[in-house]
Amino acid sequence: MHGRKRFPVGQTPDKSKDQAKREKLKKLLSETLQNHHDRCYTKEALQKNAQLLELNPEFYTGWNYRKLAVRHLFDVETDETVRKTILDQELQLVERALQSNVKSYGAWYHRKWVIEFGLSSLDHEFMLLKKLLKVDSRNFHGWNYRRFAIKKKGTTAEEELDYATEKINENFSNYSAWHYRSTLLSSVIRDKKSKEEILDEEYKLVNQAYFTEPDDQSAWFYNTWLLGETNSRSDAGPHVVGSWPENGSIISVNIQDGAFPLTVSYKTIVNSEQTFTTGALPLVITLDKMVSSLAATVRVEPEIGNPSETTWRPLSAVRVPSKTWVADLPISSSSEGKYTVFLEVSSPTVGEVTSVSFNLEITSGDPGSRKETDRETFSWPGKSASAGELEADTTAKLERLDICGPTAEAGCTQDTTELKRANWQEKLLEAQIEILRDLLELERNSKWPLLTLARVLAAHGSTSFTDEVLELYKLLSDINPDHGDYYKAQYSCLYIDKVTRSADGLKKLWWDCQGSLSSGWLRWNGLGLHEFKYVERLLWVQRLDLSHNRLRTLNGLEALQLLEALDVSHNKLPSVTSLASLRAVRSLQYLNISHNEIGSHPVDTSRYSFPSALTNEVRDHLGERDGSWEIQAVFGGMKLKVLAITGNTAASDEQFRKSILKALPSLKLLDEEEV
Amino acid sequence: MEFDGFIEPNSVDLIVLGTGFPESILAAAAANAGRSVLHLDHHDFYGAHWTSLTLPQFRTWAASGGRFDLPPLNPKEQDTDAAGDSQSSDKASPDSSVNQADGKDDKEAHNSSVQDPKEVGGLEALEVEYENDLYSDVQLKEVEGVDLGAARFYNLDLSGPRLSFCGSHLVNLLLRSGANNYVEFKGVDATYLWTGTELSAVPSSRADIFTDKSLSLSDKRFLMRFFRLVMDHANAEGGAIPKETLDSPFVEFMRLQNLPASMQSIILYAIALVDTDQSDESSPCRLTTEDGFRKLTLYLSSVGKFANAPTAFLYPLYGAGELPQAFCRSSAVNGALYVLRRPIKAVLVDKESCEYRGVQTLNGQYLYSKKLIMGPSVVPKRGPEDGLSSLAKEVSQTVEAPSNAASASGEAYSKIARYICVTDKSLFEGQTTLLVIFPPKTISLNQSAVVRAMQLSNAAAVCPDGKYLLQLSTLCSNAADGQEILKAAVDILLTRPREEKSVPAETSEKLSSSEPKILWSVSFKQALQTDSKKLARLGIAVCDLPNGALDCESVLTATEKIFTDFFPDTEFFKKVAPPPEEFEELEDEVEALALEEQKTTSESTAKPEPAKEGNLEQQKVEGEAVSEAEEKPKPVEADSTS
Repeated sequence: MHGRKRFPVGQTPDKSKDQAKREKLKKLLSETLQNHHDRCYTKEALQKNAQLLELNPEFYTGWNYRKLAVRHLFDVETDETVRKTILDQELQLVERALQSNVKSYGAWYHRKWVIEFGLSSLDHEFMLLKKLLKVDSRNFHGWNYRRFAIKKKGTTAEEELDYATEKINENFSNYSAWHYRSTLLSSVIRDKKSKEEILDEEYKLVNQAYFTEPDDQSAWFYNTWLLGETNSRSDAGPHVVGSWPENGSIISVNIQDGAFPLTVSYKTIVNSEQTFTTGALPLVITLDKMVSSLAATVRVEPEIGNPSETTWRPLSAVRVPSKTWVADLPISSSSEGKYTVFLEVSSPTVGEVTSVSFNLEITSGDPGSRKETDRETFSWPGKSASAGELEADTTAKLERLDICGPTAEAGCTQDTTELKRANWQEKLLEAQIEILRDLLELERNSKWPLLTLARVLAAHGSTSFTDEVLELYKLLSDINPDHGDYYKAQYSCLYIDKVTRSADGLKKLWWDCQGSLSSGWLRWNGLGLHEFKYVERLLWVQRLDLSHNRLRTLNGLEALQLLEALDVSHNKLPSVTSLASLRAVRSLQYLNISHNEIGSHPVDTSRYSFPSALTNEVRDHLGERDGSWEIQAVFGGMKLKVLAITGNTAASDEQFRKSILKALPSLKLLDEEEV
Repeated sequence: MEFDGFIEPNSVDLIVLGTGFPESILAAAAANAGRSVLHLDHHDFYGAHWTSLTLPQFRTWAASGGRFDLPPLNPKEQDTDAAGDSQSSDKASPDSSVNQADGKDDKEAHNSSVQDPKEVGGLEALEVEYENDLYSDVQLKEVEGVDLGAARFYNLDLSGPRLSFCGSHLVNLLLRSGANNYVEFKGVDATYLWTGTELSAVPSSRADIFTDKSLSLSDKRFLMRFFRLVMDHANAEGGAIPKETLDSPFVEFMRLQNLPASMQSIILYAIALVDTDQSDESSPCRLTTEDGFRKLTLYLSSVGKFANAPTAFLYPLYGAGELPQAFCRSSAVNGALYVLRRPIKAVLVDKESCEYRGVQTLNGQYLYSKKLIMGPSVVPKRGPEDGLSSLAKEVSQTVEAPSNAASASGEAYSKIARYICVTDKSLFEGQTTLLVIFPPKTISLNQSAVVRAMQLSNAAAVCPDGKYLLQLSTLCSNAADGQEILKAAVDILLTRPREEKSVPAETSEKLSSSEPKILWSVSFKQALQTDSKKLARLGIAVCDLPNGALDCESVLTATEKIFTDFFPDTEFFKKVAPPPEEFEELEDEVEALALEEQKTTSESTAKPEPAKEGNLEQQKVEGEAVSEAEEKPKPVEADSTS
């Protein structure tokens, strides 16, 4: 129970009483077990068992014994009234048992079991619940049981909503009641119109709560749910949010001497070149939701070579469903010329077709410029970046970076597919922004209104708010340093969202290490990132610096099919399996995973907290019974030339290094040492 | 032995004259501390100016112009007070003749103890009388042909409206003295504040503030933040607010805290319960921030203290007159001797030291004690021939400082206007026990003091089922007619637009019939404390008259001071051991398990039997009063908090 005074520890009842109780329990316990064993369901035996359960309702064997007994008695008694009396006795016993422990799972479960026979009055159950939730309004057993009873009775959500209102009015610091309200409303909201009205009313209610007590979290949590409801798109998607090659871009493919590899030149914020050894151009589609199959066609005008069926492969770590899908466009030397490629993706739910088209030029012979990515010319972006100090002006630091190269014409992946929000949603959000600003006038530097305002502004999505939201998160990490990491991560996400929206913004994150445009890096280092977002805007990236963040997983990176160098040093990657998504990045040659936490955790939690295909099946398939199977599974298919692992606990393990070398025969440099 | 009218023992530690609220508490406190106490009252009922009267009693009182008829006097004195005697026959008290006969018997049987005071060694008798002109302008209005129900079901407070905070010192004392066994309470359902245009509900808890739709969002914030500030100050060691701020007027402080005017009004008048206009900067009785904080803290700790009390206030079942009676009973349980209808004639003082020694009753008995506590109506006898007028003058120098409340009420006010009426309908449907506050200048521009109205009903066992009582009061000066303002307030209450008024204008006739109608009413004025006429000597203390405050805290403070002056090293009510489980229930509100709840509530509504171990004689003397009290009907929905 909540808000109760704890009794002083010293005040335990005298020991003789305790002893007597213990003896009694022992005796009842052995008798019950004996009766259970003998299948003895006499009245006397049941009474003994009842005594035991009243004293100790946690003894679940006792409840199971009673269930068997009731079944047994029902075999004998077919008369309904007699059966009802038997069940009523069970219900009474549960009531008595709950008096000794109101949170006994066994007792509540037994009650449900009895009610399921459908012979008992539900009104009595509601009366009991009313009392229980009055005494302890946040008892989750009570709320669970209420849900059960409502379902049995067939009460509609609308009717039940009044009960939630009543409980909230009694005391609005009641997560249970607010949560109950949100679940009920989810089933009440049927159409757009009702949703608009309901949400408006709910905002009014929750506003009252946090104006009364802005430090009370329960109302803010409910507000967060409301915000999610308000901001949800009516058309559920999925929608295409990104592609490579992007819509309207020009891709030049040079086939050298009538054979592979292909050199692909394209232009984003800089001119880029990438070499593919497979003889096919990868086509990538990114959606805003995971789908288990992608209905998309590839059409090339004029036809290229022999038309063949393109198959789309999912790219998520767990295969399907996936947000990112890839297909190969085969290119042969005989297909010199200019083409237009159309990708048509039809959404399974909405039925609309998104089409992406790009121009493709295929040439052969001398490519003009050749990209040299040997180890002589390759270098990591450097250790100049210190670990994410938010106030050390991420902006300033990044703006300092030298931006060179021509202005991008095609621009980066513009998030033009962002869907329009309905007018009423905008109106609701704007009203809430007003109200939160009013509250902040009264409660300066109060963390919940600040955080919620930041969230509502971000949800509103107008770019004019972005700087304000960034300021809010900065302020929050100052006034509430305990949750500083969270605020920093939010700040960084938003910052990245802001800068990756435009080519000019992206250039701020562009760092050219050797004066050669094509060997430039996109640097997202020192931003306190917890997760990798906005991957759909970066499908063109070849060198990515994510060092000095707080990443625990690399999920999402699989979409970067052009990636050749990745720096994820100084993060919190806990295991080899957390790198699993890199297996799909076939172009990756340079990887820096130094100074992470690989080998520091005895249990690989990333396999539980993030979806991963690395199940035991994989291990069995590999036939590796020792600790290195993960290394084989993750690195096995990669063609890495350079790998840095120093600074991980596992790096000092000779066996680990050996396994890596075994899994990566292509490796030339391991931690700066020639292999 | 047949009661012979003489009191044994005739020497005790403390004699208390009058059974008003402060007197009864002092008697109970002294008895609780093991002192021998003799408690006399010249009336034939308990409570003196704090009593609750039945309808016939009130009619008699009003018919005599607001005087209490003294019980029949000693035959020797009869010619001096003919009026009082002739009216006393109206009471038709069977005891009165017996008493008179007793008086004669006393004189013959105990001739020796009825000595001339001059012959008592070294003592001087200061003759006293009972002041009987505290009430004025009594107007009683009966409505022809109206059925008021059983008259004896009425309990009309002479000092109403009067309530107590759930968390008040009074409740604390009731518990400590064990007097809580003899009184039950009804929680006030709601408090309203008249804004000048409408009655708005006064939020009393966080849940109220949350659900109150009439408060704007920012009002909610201001109010909650202010409450938090007050509670933080109360909880902080040594307080969180600097001293100079605490000494500043509360109104100024609230203004600095940006509280909207409407909120200031609610806090001042409906929560801190001040009596007079606080916006007037020249007013001498502006509440200091410190006092305002104290009141707010009391209010906030009162809300939600008892499960059955929805607001911060309690009203005693059977009327406010039950409170002094409850304390009298607890003091009787501790051995105090009670005699009603026993007026005194003189106070005995030492000729040399002027110290108090004892009293002489009207029937001639000398009673001795170390200390004397008197109700406010015992005054030195006037008239040139007894030669005591000079004494009366010198007395005023030694008078105890008047209570805070009397001074807080301000010099400008010398009287309290009170009004009681019986109606046939509740002001708010579904609510029986209500408090309505009219801040200054909300009724009319010349309204300088707060008007308070309280509605009571059968739920508080003060009137028959289906009838409602309205009690109103306001401070007024001699010149200004407070009754006018009370009348205006009643009009507002009765004719205010009802919520159910959805019918168009043509049915206004029907509508007016839905308004509560006045079936019976009485209005009167009560004088406030007057110091000049008091008799004071070393060893004598005089208690307060009912003041204009809504609660009893200021009176209690003054009362406790009298006690500590008299008995410096004695605890004001040491804790007696009440039935432990009951005590816990009140103190900690240990909530029973849901499933046990029914069982415990049925137990707690059962009122414990008053202990019958009082003095036998006392039982006989108060026999009539007790039997009358027990005749009273049980309340229909008596909510119990004890």
